[in-house]
Amino acid sequence: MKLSELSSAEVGNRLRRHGLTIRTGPFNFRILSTIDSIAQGLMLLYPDFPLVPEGEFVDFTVTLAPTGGIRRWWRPQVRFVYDGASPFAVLPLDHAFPLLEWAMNWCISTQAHHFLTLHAAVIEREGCAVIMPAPPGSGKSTLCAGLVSRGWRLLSDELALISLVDGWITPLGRPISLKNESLQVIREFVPGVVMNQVTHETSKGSVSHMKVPAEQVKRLGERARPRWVVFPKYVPQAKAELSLRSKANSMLELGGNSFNYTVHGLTGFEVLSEIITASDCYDFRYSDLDEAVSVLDGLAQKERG
Amino acid sequence: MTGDSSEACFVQAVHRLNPLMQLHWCQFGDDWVLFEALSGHTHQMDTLTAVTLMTLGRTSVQLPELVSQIAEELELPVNPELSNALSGILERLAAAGLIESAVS
Repeated sequence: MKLSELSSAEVGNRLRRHGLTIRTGPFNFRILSTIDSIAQGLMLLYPDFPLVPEGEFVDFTVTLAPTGGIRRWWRPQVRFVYDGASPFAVLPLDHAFPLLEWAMNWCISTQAHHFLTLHAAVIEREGCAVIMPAPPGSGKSTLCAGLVSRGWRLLSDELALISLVDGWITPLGRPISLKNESLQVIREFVPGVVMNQVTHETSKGSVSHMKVPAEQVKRLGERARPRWVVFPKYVPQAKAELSLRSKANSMLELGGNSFNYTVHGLTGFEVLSEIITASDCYDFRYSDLDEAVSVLDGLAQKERG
Repeated sequence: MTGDSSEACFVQAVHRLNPLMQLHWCQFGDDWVLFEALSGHTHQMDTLTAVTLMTLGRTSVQLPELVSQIAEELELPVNPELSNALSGILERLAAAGLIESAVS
């Protein structure tokens, strides 16, 4: 059963009472909240995600609760609660949906140590994955959103989940986080794009999330083999261009972008080493999304031969 | 201690791999990546540095002997340039805790 098969009243009801449990890739999340924007955001962005049957194992239970006291009426706030603790600062109530997304990322990145987890976007074509690690502001998510709307499949825009056994990447497929100028860029690039309402004045600026195409959500069980490691960088006026980069340095950068490389010790090193051995590594400068997509399409075409 | 005497001590010192180190390597062309399991640190290095560390893993040597061993292994001429390069590498490896240097 998918989330879209529930009425909005039932979604709200579940969120308020025992929780709405959805599967996102390999994880089952139970979400509890009385906040309307959480229900609205889930119905808009997660309609194609499967609901988890009652009694099945839940990986993470996250609660987004309005704060009490006078704050209920004067500048209301939202608190993320996990396992009885509040790991983040409280935020204005209208930040509730982005906070849910950040909270879900936090759960995975701090606790899912059966994967080697990188802070990176991952997209796939022909079974081959591009890992795109990059610092905030590099245009990683914008590029990812552009590619996903032009035939590439999203595995994740934030977290690369790498198997410790064979190095393959498991999809998460959750909505793509976009911010500031990239919101308008993607609206223009993807006619008919579905985005949640924009939340302004967050720590990242103005943010929203883009819905992932339904046909991609259906393929959340399909893993992909790492084939390229691409470090994107948005450079105004730059021609889209890939340039080969040192594999050794790319491996160190991936380690530095990992949430749990040090947790895994030698296993993490060996997994990264295998990924880098099997991948071509590039720096990628771009400004125009059409050009960028075309250059990365070229990689996939070459792979097809 | 003056600079000169310090340099003389360094040349006379015997260098060896820190016996606590557990080294794991991978190689990409001329670049090497080293994982040291005890500290969990990962290092990137060039071939000269990697071969120096591997040599010190097999044997404890003074700088002049190290220069001739490395020169033979990498088919390089023995000259002051190589000696200076290896001297710098030894200092960096010692600073990273990967090797020990002691005056015998």
